[in-house]
Formats: sequence, C-alpha cells, structure tokens
Amino acid sequence: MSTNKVQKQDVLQAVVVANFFHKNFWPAADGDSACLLPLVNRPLLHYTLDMLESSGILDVIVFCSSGSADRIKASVQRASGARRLNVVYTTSDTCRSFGDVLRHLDACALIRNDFVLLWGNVVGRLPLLPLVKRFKTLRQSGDKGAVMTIVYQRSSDPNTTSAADQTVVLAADTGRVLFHNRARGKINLPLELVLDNRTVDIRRDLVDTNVVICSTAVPPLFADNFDFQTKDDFVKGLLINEEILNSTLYAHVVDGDGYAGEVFDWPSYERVTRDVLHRWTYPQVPEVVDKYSLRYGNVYFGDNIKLALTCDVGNDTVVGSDSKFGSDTRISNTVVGKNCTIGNNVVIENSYLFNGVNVKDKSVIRFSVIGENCTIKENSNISDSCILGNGVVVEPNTELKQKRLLSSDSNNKSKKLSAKAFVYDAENNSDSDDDEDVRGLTFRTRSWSINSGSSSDNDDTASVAASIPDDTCMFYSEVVDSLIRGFEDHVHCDNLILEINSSRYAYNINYREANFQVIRAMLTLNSKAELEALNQVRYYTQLQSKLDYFMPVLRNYIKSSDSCEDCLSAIEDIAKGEELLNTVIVKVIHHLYNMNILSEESILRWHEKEEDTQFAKNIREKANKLIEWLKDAEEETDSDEDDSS
Amino acid sequence: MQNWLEFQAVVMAAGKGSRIPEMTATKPKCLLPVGNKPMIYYPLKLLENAGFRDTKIIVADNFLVDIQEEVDQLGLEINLSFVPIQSDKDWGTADSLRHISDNILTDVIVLSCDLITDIDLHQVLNIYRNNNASLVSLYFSPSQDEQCVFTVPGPKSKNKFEKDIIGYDSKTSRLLLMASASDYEETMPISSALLNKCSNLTLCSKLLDSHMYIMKRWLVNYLVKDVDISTLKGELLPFVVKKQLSRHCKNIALNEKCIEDEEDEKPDIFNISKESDIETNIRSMSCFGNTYNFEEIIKCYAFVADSNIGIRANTLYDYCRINKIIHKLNINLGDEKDKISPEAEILSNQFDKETCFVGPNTKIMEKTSIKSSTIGSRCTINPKTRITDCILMNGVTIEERCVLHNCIVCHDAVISAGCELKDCLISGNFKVPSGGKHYNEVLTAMERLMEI
Amino acid sequence: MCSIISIYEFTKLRVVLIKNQLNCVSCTPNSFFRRAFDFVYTPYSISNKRHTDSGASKPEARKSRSLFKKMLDIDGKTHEMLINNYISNLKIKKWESNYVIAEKTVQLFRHFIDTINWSTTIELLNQLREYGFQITSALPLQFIVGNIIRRILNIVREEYTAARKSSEEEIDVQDSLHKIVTSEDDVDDYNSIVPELKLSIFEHLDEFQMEIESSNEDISKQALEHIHSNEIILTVGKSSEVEMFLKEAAKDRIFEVFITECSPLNHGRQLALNLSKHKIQSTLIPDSTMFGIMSRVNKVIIGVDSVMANGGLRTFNGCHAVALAAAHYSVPVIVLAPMYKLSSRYLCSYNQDAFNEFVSPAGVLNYSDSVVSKVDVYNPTYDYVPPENVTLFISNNGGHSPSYVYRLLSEIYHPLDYDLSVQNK
Repeated sequence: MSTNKVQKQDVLQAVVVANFFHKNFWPAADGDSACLLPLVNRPLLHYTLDMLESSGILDVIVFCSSGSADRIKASVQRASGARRLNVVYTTSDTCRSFGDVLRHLDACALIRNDFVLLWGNVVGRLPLLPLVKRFKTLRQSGDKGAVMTIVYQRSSDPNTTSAADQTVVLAADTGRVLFHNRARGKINLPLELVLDNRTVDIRRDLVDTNVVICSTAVPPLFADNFDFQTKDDFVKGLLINEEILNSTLYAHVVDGDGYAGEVFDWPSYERVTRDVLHRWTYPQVPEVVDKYSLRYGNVYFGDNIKLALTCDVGNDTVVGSDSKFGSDTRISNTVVGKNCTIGNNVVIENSYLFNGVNVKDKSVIRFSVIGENCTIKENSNISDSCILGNGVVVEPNTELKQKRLLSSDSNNKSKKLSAKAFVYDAENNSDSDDDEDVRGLTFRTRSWSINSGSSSDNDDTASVAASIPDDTCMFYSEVVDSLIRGFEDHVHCDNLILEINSSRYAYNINYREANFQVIRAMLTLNSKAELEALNQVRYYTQLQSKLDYFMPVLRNYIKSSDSCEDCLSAIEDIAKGEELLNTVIVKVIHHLYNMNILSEESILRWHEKEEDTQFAKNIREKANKLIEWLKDAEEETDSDEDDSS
Repeated sequence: MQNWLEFQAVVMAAGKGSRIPEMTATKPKCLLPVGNKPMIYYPLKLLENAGFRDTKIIVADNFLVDIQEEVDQLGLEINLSFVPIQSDKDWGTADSLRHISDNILTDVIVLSCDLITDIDLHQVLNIYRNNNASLVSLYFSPSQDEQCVFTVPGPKSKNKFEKDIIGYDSKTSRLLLMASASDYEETMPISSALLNKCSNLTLCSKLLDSHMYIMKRWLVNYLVKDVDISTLKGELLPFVVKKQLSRHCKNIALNEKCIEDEEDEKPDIFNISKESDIETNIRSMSCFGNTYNFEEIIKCYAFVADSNIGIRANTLYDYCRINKIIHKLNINLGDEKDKISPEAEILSNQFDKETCFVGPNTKIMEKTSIKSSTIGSRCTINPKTRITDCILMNGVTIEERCVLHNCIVCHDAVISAGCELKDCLISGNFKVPSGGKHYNEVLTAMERLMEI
Repeated sequence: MCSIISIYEFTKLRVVLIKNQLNCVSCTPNSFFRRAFDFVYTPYSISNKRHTDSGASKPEARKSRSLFKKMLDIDGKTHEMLINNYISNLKIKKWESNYVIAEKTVQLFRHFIDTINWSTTIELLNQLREYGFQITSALPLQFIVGNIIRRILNIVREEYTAARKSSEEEIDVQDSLHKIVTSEDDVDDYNSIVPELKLSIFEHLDEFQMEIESSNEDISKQALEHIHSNEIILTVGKSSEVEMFLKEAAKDRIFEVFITECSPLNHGRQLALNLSKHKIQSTLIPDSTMFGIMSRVNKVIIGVDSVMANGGLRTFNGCHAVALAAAHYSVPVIVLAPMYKLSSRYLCSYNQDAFNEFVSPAGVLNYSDSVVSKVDVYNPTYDYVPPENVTLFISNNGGHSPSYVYRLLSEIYHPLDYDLSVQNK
C-alpha cells in the first residue's frame, strides 16, 4: 500500500479546463462546450488530450460545467488518444472564471503534486515531461518560490498576430518573468529590473499557449486572493506582490522544439487551423489521426468523397468523409466537415463548414463559419465573418455580411429572417453583452496577401510623418498609440491627457507643436485599410464619433487663439494627404466650431490668411460657404446684441 | 592608391588616463605596462593579426616622442603613422577623428589604446559586412568567473561599474537602445516605436563597452558637419542609435524643405547617409542580404562577445585585473626571451619563471623571492626582498629587506631598505623612506605629507 | 500495465507450450529431435538457460504457465484493443527503428496465433488476414508492418503444406525448385486439420524472429567482400545496418567514409560520431557537397526504409540525389536491406500520399520565422530511388541485383497474401 502511495505521488497530473468562460465562439459553440468545437473536423479537446497522451502524461483531470459534462464525457470516449488516459471529471456550477476553477481544485484537494494546467483548446505537440522536470529541479535547487512556468509560443509574425499584444520581460539567463503587460503601447520598465539582472529580454513576439506548469502552491494562492479571476490577474498580482507572496514565475518559450497553439477566438481558430493543415502539429495531422489522404498543396480528402469532375479544390483544404461536391464548384482554404453536400457552381473560400452542411447551387461563402447541419439555399451570399449556429436554414437569394445567425430565437433578442434563421442583433443587445462578444467576429483577409497588413500601415504613417524632426515624430506616434488604445479600451480622457502630456515632456515638445500633433493624430486615427472600405458619409460619421469621444482632450489642448490656429493648420496639413478628409474638411471645421473648440475669429483669420499654394486656395474656397454663414451669424448675434441693448 | 582598402584603422591613444591619475601623471596611459608590453601594443597587435597593414595613431603632442620611441621597439609589422593633437585642447575622440577626417577615405575602425582582448576581429568585421551596417560596436559580457577577486592597490574604494544600458535585438543583434541608468529615475520608458521595431529586445546593464567602433565613411562626414559632437561614445553613438528609429524624408522635395528648415541647426543625418546611385544599383541587383533591411539606411549593430576576454584598462581595477590574467589570454606575448629578457641579470634562486615578466637590463640579486610579478627594465632588486603580485615599472629600485605584496610601483621609484608595502600604489619618481610600513595607500610625491 | 508482452515472457510461454505439447501429442521421433534441436539453438539465451535449468520439472512449468495466464487475465485485452494500442503506438512514433517495429509485429501476431480460436488453417489465415488488413490500412505508410504480416501468413501456409506433406511422406528439407513448383499446382484449401501445426508455426516464427534479429549481423559479415583497403565510401544519414557493416569492415581494412548530414534530421552527425569513436576515418559533409565529392568515391553504401517490389527504394530523403550523382560518375550503389524490408508494393505512380510521409516543417523552418504564414513548407521523410540507380542489394541471404527482387518476393511471400483485403475462401 505504501509503495502504491509513493507511486501515486510521482504520477504527473494534468488539469484540463474544458470551460472557456467566454462566448467568443457563440453561436457556433457555447462557452461551456466550446472545447468540442471541431477544428479540422475533430473536437478541440481531442487535440489537447492527444497532446497530453503523446507527451507521456496519463492522469488527467477534466474540469467542465455540469451542463456539458455528459457531452464532453461522451466525446472523450470517442477520442483515439484518450483511450490510454486515466481521465477524472470534476464539475462545478458555481465557477464563473478561471480563478474559480482553481479555487474549486483547491477545495476538492485533487492535486497531489506539481501539475500541468491547460485549457481544452490547446493544439500542438509539446514535450511536457522535460519541462516539468526542469521546473522541479528549479524548485529543488534554485528558486524555492517558483510556482509556475508559463509556456509561450514564439509567434511567426508579431506585428499581425492579435494574440501577441502583450509585452513580457524575462531575465535572459533564468527565464524568470519580471514584467508583464497586456497593452501594446509603450511600457515603463522599472529601472531596478534592468540593473539587477545581467540581461533582460523584452519580448513582444510571444503568444500564450495556455499551458502552464504549476506547483501545488498555485491553487491555494488563488484561494487566498479572491480577486484573481484570470491567469493575467494571477501573473499581475504575483509580480506586484512578489515579496509578500514570495512566489516567482518563469517562462518557457517554445521555438523549434514543439508547437502549441491556443484557440480562443475566431482569428486564432483560423491561425491554428492553418498550422494544423501545414502540419506544424505533426503527428496530430488529419491523415494520421483520422482517415484522410494527403494531396499536394495541403489538401486532405476523407474517405468516400464525391467530387465532380469540374470541381476545383484549392490549397489548404480539408474535405471530410462522405461529402459530395457538385460541378464547377470552387473551394479553397476551407475545412468542410463530414457528410456535407455542396451543390453546383458554389464558391467557398476561407470558411469552415461543420458536419452535415448542405449548400445549394450558386451560393457563395467567404470568411464564414457554418455550424452543423445548416442549409444554405440557392444563390445565397454569405461573407465577411458570418457565424451560423447549428441548424440554421438560409432561404434562397439571401445576402449576409458580418452577421450571427441562430436557428431558433430563444429569448426574443434576435430578428427573424426566416423560419429557421434569426439574426442576432449586436447593436440592440449591446447593453446586456460586453464588448468581448464582438471581438470574435473578425476574420482577417489572409495575411499573406502581401499588400495588406502591417507593411502598408507603416508606409501610411511614414508618409504622414515625413518631414517632421524625429522627436516630434516619436511624439506623434506615441500620441497615435495612446489615442487608439484610449478609443478601443474606453480610457477616460483625463488619463489620455496625462499620458499625452507625459510624452510631451519626454520628447520635449513645445506647447504649440503639441497642439498641432494631437490634432493631426486624432484625424489620422483610421488606418488606410479602413479608409478604403468607407465611403464619404460613413467616414465622416466615424470621424465625428471619434472627435466627440476625444472632445475633453481637444478642449484641453485647444484653448487660446494661438492653439486654434495650430488646430486649423493641422487640419489643413492632414487634408493635403487625405482625400477623404479633404472632402469633409469644412464639415469638420464646422463641427469643431459648434463644439466651441474653434472660435469664429480664428476661423476667419485662417480664411483670410494669404496662401499661395493651389491647395490652400482650394480649401479656402470650399470653406467660403462656412465663412459666409459665420459672418452672417456674427452679424446676427451682433444685431441681436444691438437689439437687446 | 589606398582606395581599395576596406577599412582604415585609427587607434586613439591621446587619452590622459584621468581615472588613474596616480600612474599617468608623468607617463601617457598608452605606455603603462601590461605584461611585458606597453598597453598600446595590444590594440596594434589585434589589428596586425586581423591583417591590417597601416594604422593611424592619435597621440597627444607632448608625448609623441615617448610613444614613438617605445612603440618602435615593439617589433610590430604594421605601419604606423602618428598624428599628434594638441594636448591642451582637451579634445574628445570625435574631435580627433574630425581632425584626421581628410585622411579617411574608407570605412573606419576606431580602437582605443586601452583595449586588451583576444577576440578575433574578423567576427566583428563580418557583422559589419553581413548587415551592411552603418556602425558596429563591440561589447564584452562581464566575466562570469568570480575567481579574480583581489584587492586593488591604494585606498579602499568601491569599484563602480558604469551603468550603461544597452538594448539590442537578440536575433539580429541590431543595436537599438543606448542609455545610461542615470538618465532615468525609477522607471525606464520604452517607446512603442522601439518595441514595434524589435519584438525581442534584449537589455543589458552590465556590458562592457570596448570603445571599438566600425563606422561607415559617411559618419565621419557627418562628424565634420556637426561640430557639436565631441565624443564618439557619449554623443555620436547614442545619437545615431536613436536616429535609426526616426523616419526620414522620402521624396526629394520634402528633403529640400528639411534642409532649408534646419540649415542653421543641425545637418540632417539622413541626407549625409544617402547612398550613391551605384550602391543602390549594386544592392538591388544582388540577391544577398535581408530584404527588410533595404529600406533602412542607418543600421547600428552590436557584437556581444561572450567567451572572449576583453578588458578596457582604463581604471585601476581593470588595470590590475588585466595584469593578473594576461597569461590566460590568447595573445602572443612573444617567446621565452620576451617574457624574461636575456639581458636581465637574475641571480635569485626563488624566481618563478612561469608567472613573471622581466624587462632588459634589470638586475635581480640573490636571496630574493619573486612571484607573479611584472618587472620592467632597468630595475634593481636588492637581496633579501620578497615581491609577490606586483607590477614594477621601468627603473624601479628596491633596496634590501623589502616586502612588497600586490603593489604597483611606477617608473623610477625607489623603495628604501626595510619597507613593508601591501596593496600600495607608488607613483613615479617617488622615494619611499626606509622602514616604512604601508597598507592600502597611494604614495605620491605631491601629496606626500598628507599621505604619510 | 504493459500491453505488449516482452520477449522474455514469450520465450517462457513457448517453453510451457511446447512442454505441454510434448506431453499430450504423440509425435514422430524425427520431429521431436527437430524440436529439441530448436531448443538448444533458440535465439534467446535466457530461455535456453531456463529450459536446461528447470529441465522438465512439472510444477515449475505449471507455475509459469499460470503466471502467463494471469498476466493475460490482468491484461484482459481483447485483440481489438491490442491492435488499437499497436496502431497508436506506431502513429505517435513510439517505436522509431524498423527493427523494433518488426519485432513488435511478430510478437503481436504470435499472440494472435496463440489465442485465436481456430481449428482449421483457413480460419486462422482469414482471421490473421483480417487483422493484417485492419493494421495495414490504418498505417498505409508503414511498409514494414505489411511485410512482416505477409511473411507470417506465408509461414503459416508453409508449415501447413510441409505438415501435410510430411504426413504423406518423409519431409525433404531441400525441396527442389521443380518440386516446389509442381507441388503448388495442386491447390490446397487449407481445410485439413494438422495436429501439431501450431507448434511448428511457433518454431518457424522463432526462426523468423532470429532471422530478424541477426539480419544486421548477417549483412555485416559480408562487409569484407565489398569494402576494400583504402577505398572511399559515401553514405547518407544514419542507418544501423550501414553502421554495423562499416564497423565490421574496419576490423580488417582501412578505408575512409564520407557521411552526408542528411538534413533536416541530421542523423548523419550521429553516425559520424559513432564511426569516429570506432576509429574509422570519417568526414561529415553537407548534403549539397555530395556531388563534388562523388568523383572520388569508390562506393556508395546506403540503408533503406523498404525495398519496393520492382527493386526501387523507399529511403531517406536525399538518397535519390546521391544515387543520381553516383550514376553520373558510375559509382556503384550498394543497398543494405535485410529480408524483412522487402515489400510487395509497387510505386505505381509518383503518388505522394501513398508513399511519402510529410512531417512537421519544424526541421526546415522555425515556426517563429516571419515567412511561415506566407509560404507552404513541405518536409517529406522519404525519397524514391528507382531500381536502375541501384547496383546491388545485400540482404542477410547474400547479394542480389534489383531485377532479382521479384524472385525473392515470391519466395518469402505467398502470392495470395499480396492483397490482404480480399478474403480467401
């Protein structure tokens, strides 16, 4: 018995959290069963369990919500790799976050030893045992306070991967995590970190894998600190209170010795699917784990499929078994589930069709996810990251863009489209759901279309920023960063002002120059790619909403008549390079005037100023109407005053 | 005639050694002995080993003759041309370089006379060549072994490291940040422009700057234009490193505007760095190199030498240290007769040949014990003395019954009979009165009364 | 719980079984002798020892028998589970070398033959073929598995025929070619009951297992015939056969070896290290310089993953280039292939999915390389070398030319077993 006990203690456990506590995949999958979402026609959880199995871990604790426990159990039993795993399930209904799960684990006392903690959405191959061994030796010989090794994957393209928007600072020799920041802007690194460590790596190229190796001290730490809700909370709390909690964190960066990808929203779903098809997860690739055959160009065909002779199958495509394709149908960069029926003349690109989907003739599907057993009838066009829940029936000749569709309307939140298609209206329901909800909905156009993406963005700012001395230029880019972040994260404008001021001092920018640059930054917030998609009207409404949002900032900077002048010249300067702004420049000025930011005098003075370039003349001509109106208004007020006096 | 040369070498030897005034009061820093050679031997030998045939040496004019004389005796094959600069003008390294800019026709490699290393210079040059760099700077990571813990002669003082913070891309070793810890208070802001440029930035606070730079010719042009810059490390380098991050004017029209705007202030570095059309052509036709580097013009790189030993002997601590580990370095110090001159007269029976250097015309009497010491020329060591871990420069006389441990005795000093000195520094021409016992002291002529 | 019974236990089992048989089955003295002979020369010294030590003591035998039974009971694994286990082990690359795979396959099928409930040979054959089909269709790229299965089926068939004949006439060990051909003419339905078939199959399996085990040794014994003094040998990557072959030759001859790294796995480095430890002058070269060195090379000696039915090779990536370079300089290419690597399959077209194995691109390119999202990277494991570029095969039975492979195949596999999916009647 005693030997048995010793053995048990040596057994390495893994805890798989199979509840994601977010609704990123909704309506294709719920939060608590999203780990069963098929990735290349195989539930995500199977990848995770297979990874554990092949890395030599046999004891697995799966945490799931009690509502989905049965489905998960049933699915795990079908998984090929899980057959040899010793899976224990634990459920709880009170858990609302990742932190709660660990508190639950602490309460259940299921953890006997150092353990591997991961989510049920990790795909890849990782040599976990050596990592655990290293962690153990670290705890035994080096740092007794080490509680966690966080596994990061080095990302392929740090500038475009949305998952990589975090800054991690590591001690180069030990791999200890010194600093962690979720934002993408600039960071303020405590000086002592740099001075106390021989070498410090500031890394922006790391992506979370959601695999961590924890000591037994981790669940109690969560239990003691009730404010730890997520892993980020934990990391942050530990780094801030390092001395108090006496715990340290380490990082392991996977690069070359494995691959791990985390699927937490649709963009990452797309990225990991691509990596699976490109075989980075080998041996977890379709034709090894399931019955597929591999063709040139990463095309995987299941058993017993029927392709019409004129059907064109492009690269990076998976066709599940028993699927049928009609003639003149084109598919590329697409995963098609099992038992799908695709009609004639259908185009499917960059999409994910789950099992049993039926697509009728002449339909087009691009950048979308089609849930199980959906039917898309003739001549429909579904594009721009539509997500269709299970069992939706789309009537003929429907056009859908950026929509989420459900098959039934459970709580009257949705707009009825047809008998079995309800559009989830994000705008109407925005109060009840958080912004997180919208986040999942962004399929990018593939990053390898070379002209889009980061490069053009850079050029964009570069051309705008040309001819500015560099300190000013740096200041400008900082301001742009702050504003973008402020707008996206709804940072309070007072904080933004503080931030901008601090950069102003850092780069030693004088007051007027700062005014000029802030206005410029505000007007150029839209990236070029966005601009192209917008027409004039929408551009203006968007610009206006941004200006309104930043009104306190504007008010802070544009106070005196001098600053008004700066503001106007900045607008003019930008309009020179921006076609769209050029068209609405008068509106912008008018709006600013209405908001009492620009004074009449300054506008008039600006207008009267003699300019010799053709462009400046044009603008002034355009503004003539406004000026006339202003003058009228002035006279009116004057006369009003006269009257009243 | 020399145009085909890839690099021209310049050795900066006009430094006054202001951090070791005790030793450099009467002797230029570059002539202080390290092992059996003057310090300047090492950078010259480094160049010679790398295949350089010529080098310029910048020296202070008051020491020109001394240095010339001594360097000529070293038997180096490399051709030397000495450039004297006025010692009273207090010129920095950049000023010196500007002074000789007319004679610099190619890319230039600048070394400091106090650089002692066994690194292979080609490694550094290759970094420069591979990346078409504008500037490469050599760094040494601090020595890992803590074995060479020793007491520095002279009064005890804390050994202060310069807290320079160097940031480079760990993948490409591109140098992206140069700052001093004293620039910041509690936090160190790192701009997003920098972080966007480099996704894996490595910050080091303990690197040793070797003061060796390889630069493009246009940087010298820039120096000529911008007369405000007086030192390479302190001013030019941070400036150029910072400039990498800023964007430059693209079209010519804007360029012209820039020039107009800034004519009175500073010349635009980007205009100077513009490459000639033929170079653009060459580059666009070759399939070599990283594509993403093409757009950039200013590219600084750092070479961080790990395993090699490199020291700048500009402080007392480093000077002592290099003297203790000079045996271990992979530098050819000459054969046996260079180590212990045949012209020396050694009568001692307790003389450790392995760890000592002895210069010519030195007389070591019988009944002396000498270990781990460097002894210059024309010294006289009288009987019944014991010398361990010491550096004796030229012309030192040690009288009878002296015990010296871990001392630096500068040239022509006299240690009178019966002295016992431990961890002391005796400056040039000083005479230690007999029977004195000194520990951790600096003995100089000027402050003689104060010190004793 | 270990699902695969170790060699040790198997040998134990064999002892027990045979003892049982000895007790209950009457047999001719002749066959008894043969059996006894087998015991003495059994491949496992440990079973030898056990046999001679324990003699025929019955309690011991019973004990080990019950132990084995118990083990099976605890194991409690159905054939289905064993097959699944076996397949997933192969899929996750638990067993790297072909030799181990071969051994494990023999062990698995030995267990099947032992535990399948069969009375007539055709039942056994059909069951084995079904299992074989299951396994080979799940592992289309593991040729070796199919080879072993077909070989075992052939062993069953041979033993059956031999037993049938021996019941009619005294067995002639050296059947003439003519006799074999003529005897096969009368089609056998494998329906007759042969009493000691199981036993003789096991014996034959032991021989087979011994053949697998000693194949490398047998091959390396021929080394001196092929490697002469002061020759320059070129080899690709790392192959255990080649390593042993060279080491054997180095005992008597002095020669020089060039080893290509065989990127991206770079196994060649390991071989170079091993050889140089063995005091063989070896030079590691990058794959790309192979052509430049070829003019100086006397012989190319390579290992192989499997030999196709036409004499072509499925072998490490990069071998085709080497073979072509060798052809250019008229350098002989010698392939070391133990008999169990002979496959009955053809490469009908250059159909990659049935032939090659694409592994993770990680060896070619780091995932963090920024080009990863913009390019498709393929990392194939194997190369096909057509038979015309191969000069000679050296198997454990001697040297063969590629055109002779078909003959070897018909000797070791039964034509009926080429396609496992079709059930014989």
